Amino acid sequence: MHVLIVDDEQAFAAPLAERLSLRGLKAQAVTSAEQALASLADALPDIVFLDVHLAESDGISLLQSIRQHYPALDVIMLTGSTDMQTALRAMRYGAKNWLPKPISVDTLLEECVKAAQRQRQRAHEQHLAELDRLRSLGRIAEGVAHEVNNPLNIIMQAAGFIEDLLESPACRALPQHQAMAQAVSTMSRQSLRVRELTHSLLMVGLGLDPRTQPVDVPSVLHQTLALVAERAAQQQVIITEALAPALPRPLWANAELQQVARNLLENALDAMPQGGRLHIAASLCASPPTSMELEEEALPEHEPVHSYALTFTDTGCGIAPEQLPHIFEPFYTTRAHGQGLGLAVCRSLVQGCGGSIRAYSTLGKGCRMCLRLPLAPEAKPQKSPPSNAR
Amino acid sequence: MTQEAIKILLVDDEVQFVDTLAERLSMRGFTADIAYNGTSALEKVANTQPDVIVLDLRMPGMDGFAVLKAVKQRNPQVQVIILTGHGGDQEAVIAGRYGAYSFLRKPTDIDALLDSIRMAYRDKVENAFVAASFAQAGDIDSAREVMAEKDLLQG
Repeated sequence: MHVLIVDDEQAFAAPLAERLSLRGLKAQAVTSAEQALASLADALPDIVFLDVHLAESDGISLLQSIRQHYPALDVIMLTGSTDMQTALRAMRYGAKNWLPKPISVDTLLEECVKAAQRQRQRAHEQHLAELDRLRSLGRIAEGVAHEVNNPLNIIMQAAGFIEDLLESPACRALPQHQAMAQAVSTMSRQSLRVRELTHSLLMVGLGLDPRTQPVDVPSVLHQTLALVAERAAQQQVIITEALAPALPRPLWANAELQQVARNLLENALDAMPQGGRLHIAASLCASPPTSMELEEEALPEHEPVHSYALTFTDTGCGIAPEQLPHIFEPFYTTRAHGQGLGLAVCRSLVQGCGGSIRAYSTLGKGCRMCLRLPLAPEAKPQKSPPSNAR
Repeated sequence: MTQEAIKILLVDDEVQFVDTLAERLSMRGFTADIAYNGTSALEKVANTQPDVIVLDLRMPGMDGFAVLKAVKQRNPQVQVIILTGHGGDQEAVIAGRYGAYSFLRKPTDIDALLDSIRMAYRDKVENAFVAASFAQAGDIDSAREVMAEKDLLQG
């Protein structure tokens, strides 16, 4: 989490920033409005603590210009006196809160946590809005494909019929036979092109479909893998898979599986800039955890006994033991860039469908992300599968 | 048995499509009867006892699933191939549970449809043969089991 403190009292702001840094936050202190604006333009923090009294310009006008340029940024006002009027004005201009000085580090941290929660809420709302958009897109694609398929079906059948007729000896004797055969074969071929198109539209719908349903994991993963194939090739990462297409299907939304898989794949590629191996495997999970998992801890009780297990194992740099417990926390990142939201979103999506996600890693050797997903009710293994149903 | 002997019933409300399909099947030596809706399909099944039904799902009135269910209840030995333009995964799973033999999506190739019809017919004949052999040997329970396989599918 990145914090910016704007206060003209260097003796107050600098030690505060230092103490926040000791607590693991990225904190910076500046003493003027110009410095503050320059810092904001350089890198956007997650929260700003702003003194209402700055030496050259007042904090309220800086607040106004921050609100104007960065409306999503949380600003907390620091007031030296118990000046209620100024505090109220600040709140009117969009400050999230005000804190009377002197201020303890714990109070600042509390505000940081609140800001993180608000940010998480915003990300969640954005995600929902995105899903909503995808839902309508998926429906349109599906609807178009179906509406086009029906007349196309009749056209292809009619063209096939003409082709059949042209095979008869009487038709073969016609002088224009060759031209007619060519024309009708063009109709058939072009119809096939349209069928390919409607088919891929339906596939788009599949990838975007946010409804919870039995998910065809291999086919969704193949679509997702296609998105990162180029990057993997550039980095000389070899991707192998054991996806067992015949497994019962887990109950999830295609769009969410795709989003989680994309995130995990990109993370794995991030961990292997010098090449490596990424293995994706699917299995049914009623058996005890594998040895790599046993190194960590026992699975919690609420873990579904009969579930779909999906693992992503890479041979990348791995995750340090002290970092491992935090990687699913929002805003936790070990990278210079990135918001630190990827895995947090993954976890909330996986938990949203009743599943779980865990990470196992040995530093310098690699990392394994394990997803456990609930099975679709009708997908439970049958006692005697019918021999003649295909 | 020759292919002419396979009794096919085509069920689809799209008249232009299904008439042409019947014509093309007949050009290949198959005789196909046609029903343009679910109710008439069930009448024809009762009267003519087809071997293989090619069934559309979305039809006005009685839809394909209702037809499939009724056919499998009354004549479990009849093989039903679903041929639909509205075929999602869900529909395929439901059709499988109701005992459909296979699930094809429109627009389909006539050769793919013919392959499926031939395979469905072959399985039907095999089932009947196995059941008859058991019955002949006096093992009525096993004979019933072979036929009951289809009853299980309706559960």
